[in-house]
Amino acid sequence: MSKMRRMFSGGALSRCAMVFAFGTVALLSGCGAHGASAPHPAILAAAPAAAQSATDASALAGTNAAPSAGAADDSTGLPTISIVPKSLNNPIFLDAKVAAESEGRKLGLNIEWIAPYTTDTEKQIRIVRWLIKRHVAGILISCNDPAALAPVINEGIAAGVKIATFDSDSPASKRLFYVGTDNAALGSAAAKTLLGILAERKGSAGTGAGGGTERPLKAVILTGKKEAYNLNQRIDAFKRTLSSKLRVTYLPTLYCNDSISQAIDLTGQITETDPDLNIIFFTGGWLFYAPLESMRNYANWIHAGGVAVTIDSTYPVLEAEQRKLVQGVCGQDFAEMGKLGVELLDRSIHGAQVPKIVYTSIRTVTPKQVSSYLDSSTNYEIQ
Amino acid sequence: MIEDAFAVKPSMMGLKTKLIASFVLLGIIPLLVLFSFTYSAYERVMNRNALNYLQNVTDDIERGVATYFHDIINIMELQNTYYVLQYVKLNNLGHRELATRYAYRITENLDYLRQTKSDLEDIVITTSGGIALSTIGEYYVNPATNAIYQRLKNSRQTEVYFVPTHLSRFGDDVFTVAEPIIEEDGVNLGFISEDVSDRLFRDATLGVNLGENGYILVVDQTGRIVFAPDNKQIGQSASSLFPIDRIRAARSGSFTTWTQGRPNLVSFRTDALSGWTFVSISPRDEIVSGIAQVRVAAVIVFAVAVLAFIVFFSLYLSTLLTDPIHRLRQHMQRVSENDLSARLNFSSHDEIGQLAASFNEMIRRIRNLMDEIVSNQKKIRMLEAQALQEQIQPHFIYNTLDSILSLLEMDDKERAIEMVENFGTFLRTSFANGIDTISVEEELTHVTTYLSIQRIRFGKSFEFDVEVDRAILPRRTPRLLLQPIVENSLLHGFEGKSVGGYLSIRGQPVTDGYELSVSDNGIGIDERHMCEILSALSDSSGTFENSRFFGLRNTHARIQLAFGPQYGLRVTSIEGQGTSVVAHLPG
Repeated sequence: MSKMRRMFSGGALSRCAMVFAFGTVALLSGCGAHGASAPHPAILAAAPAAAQSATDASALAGTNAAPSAGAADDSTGLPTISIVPKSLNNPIFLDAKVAAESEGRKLGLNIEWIAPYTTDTEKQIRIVRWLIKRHVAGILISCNDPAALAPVINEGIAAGVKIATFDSDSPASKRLFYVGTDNAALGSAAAKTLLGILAERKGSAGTGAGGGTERPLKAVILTGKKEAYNLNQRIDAFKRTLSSKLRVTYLPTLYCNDSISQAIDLTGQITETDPDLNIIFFTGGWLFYAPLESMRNYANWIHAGGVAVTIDSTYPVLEAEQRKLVQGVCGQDFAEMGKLGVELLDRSIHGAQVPKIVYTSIRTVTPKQVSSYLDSSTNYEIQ
Repeated sequence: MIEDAFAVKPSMMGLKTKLIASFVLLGIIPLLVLFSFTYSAYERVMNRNALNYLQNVTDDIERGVATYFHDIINIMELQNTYYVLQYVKLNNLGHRELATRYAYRITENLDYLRQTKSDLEDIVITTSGGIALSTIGEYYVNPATNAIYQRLKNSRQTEVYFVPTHLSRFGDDVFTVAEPIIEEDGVNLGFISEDVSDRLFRDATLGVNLGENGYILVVDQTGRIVFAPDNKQIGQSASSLFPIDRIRAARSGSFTTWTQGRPNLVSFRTDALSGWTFVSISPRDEIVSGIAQVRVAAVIVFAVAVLAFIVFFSLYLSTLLTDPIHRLRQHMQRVSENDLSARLNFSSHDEIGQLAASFNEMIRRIRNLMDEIVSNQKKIRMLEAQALQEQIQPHFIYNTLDSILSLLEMDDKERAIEMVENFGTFLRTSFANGIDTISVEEELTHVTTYLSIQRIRFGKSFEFDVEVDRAILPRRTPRLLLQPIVENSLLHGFEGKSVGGYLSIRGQPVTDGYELSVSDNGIGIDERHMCEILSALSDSSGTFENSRFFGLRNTHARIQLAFGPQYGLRVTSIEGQGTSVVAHLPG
């Protein structure tokens, strides 16, 4: 046990989690050898009589059955707001979670954080349906697929559950409001940041490019899910802003489905197979949550003169900027999304009118500003 | 059509078919008898094998599931890891903000572990404070209404709690395994649980033959159904399906129950971890048919092989037996079609060979006889022709016609008419070609007609009378038998005798036929001539070249050719007194 604790005590978030999982698998590896004939030494076969005699019929189902309807589905008696990010494995939402929980405590709410572990629209829909069935007081969701989520959101609204969106909107739905970044403005800001970097370099970008604005630059965009409304808005605005200032040839867009490991793989492959690549635009900061040693190709490309601009200004992204692994950072304020989302939902639950769209702030972090931003940001990694 | 097929009587069947049918019956009947003796024993063995098979299936299923149980219970060791304990403790102390720091990492591992086991739907850590952390994140639960928490909240040591199949939060059929989270000092912090899809039970029976209507049940210690293919049965007592006491009495076993007069095989095995009993229920007929499929195929192959052997052996034997008979029949067919030249060649000396030899001998004799008959017929025709030629000589016709003319010239019309009538009758009998024999009565008519004509021609130089027993009148006699004899009397017996000649024709039955005799009172035959006549009559070869005694020899030969050597003419004569010729005939 103590050995295991030591193993978990260091390293980056992902590495730590992988080691943790490995440790557990090691526990499992001996299971088959025991076989069925050797009873677990401390196991008592339990009859289900207790479950069936439970007063709450739904509790008969055991662990995961739907609690009784209404906001007070826990022992606290407080209204519950369930926040449903795109996935649990995307750390970008951590600021939002912390802020939302803080706001919930302030407002006397239970805040739940529920999502498919990996980006999975179907599972996200099932989760929302489960929350509607539980009749939680409110749901704040970042939609994986705005079109697919719209009918479910409408079902919840019809059932009396207050549902709003954050980060990734579903504008066609009947959601109460959207709180999050103006993604078009964010994409445009990223493009302007890139233009500034290129201007500083006097038109030079990429390995041995030595070109400038006179000849087309080769660019690739790495984004999350193909259907993600917010990410597509950023891409459109990015391209639109650049188009009038710069001649750019775009390689096919890379989709990492909000997965850090896929972001690593895709970036490593493109920088290895296409060394003439000049620009990478990340619509989210997935890559920079990975350990440095896992992005060697990308680091080589950067050191050879490649220019990278990314959305998101979380602690790991800022760390990467400080290490000169990315030159331009345009951040969103997820904490504000979490805080405002809970606050507005609470107001809505209490019958107040809320605006349909609430944009949160955008910040551009230059290499000169990165140290100060790092000081003011939260590092969620356990040291 | 079928009726027609069955309408075939044995008597209409060929010998070969009969033999084949006999051999096949002789081959099959012992098999059927043997089968009837062994069938009941086979049934018992089959039933025992089916129970053994079902028991093995049940044991395998239980072992597979038990291994799975071990694995998922080992996963619950996760509760003892540092992060989980910290997460649970911080939550229970109300430090939600701090606990959240651990949540991400724990969730990541829960999801990873979930993926290591198929059918594992979710892993949930539930604190006594009412916070649940699962593969989908954190949410609130109410410990007061949570059945598992209520069941485990007082546990002070590790135990495993199995919750029967129920609906998960997403509406899937799952069962739950839970363990309390116990601190080293025995404080109960909450519990860890795993939702497992009931596909585990369904998949466990994949590839297993339980018959079309066979199925697996899982029942708990009280006999309540924990899992059934039909979800409606879950929670109900299994007592309506089989006696619960039977599965309580032992950890595993098998027995037969009866439902609506049909036997069901039941085998069971109880899992030591969960206390759940896996019960396989299968209609015996279906599972036996399944098990017996290969055996039936083998029996069919064996039966077909035996039957084929019997049929082919029967065919061979019957062919061996009937082929000579068939050849014999074909040969007889040829013989029946007048082909007497063929000869059967059989190398065997068995009954069939002997029969063939006898047949060959018979055919040889028939052939000889027929040759003889043909020869005799030729002789008869020749003798008849000669007799006719002899009797109806032109000068006889001329003389007769001349006599008729003389009578007409004498205006003796009555006698002329009589003579014409007699001559017509004479010619009608003489020229009756193709008729070998006539009745005695017709022969007498013919000879009296002849004598009447001759009397007119010769005047009344002789008299004759006919006295014949009426009994012999219908009997058959060679045509023109008596005419040569009476002609001899007229020409030779009455030679030189212008008046007073007398001919007596008699007929009477004798022992082996009848006799016709012609006696005259002529000059008789001297001894030398008598010897010559007797010698000529005894010459069976026929001395046709010699015209002497032609009439007697011809008549004698015709009788013997027609009726055999024991018949013929017998001549007696006393010189100067007369001659008597007796024709001995059958009839």
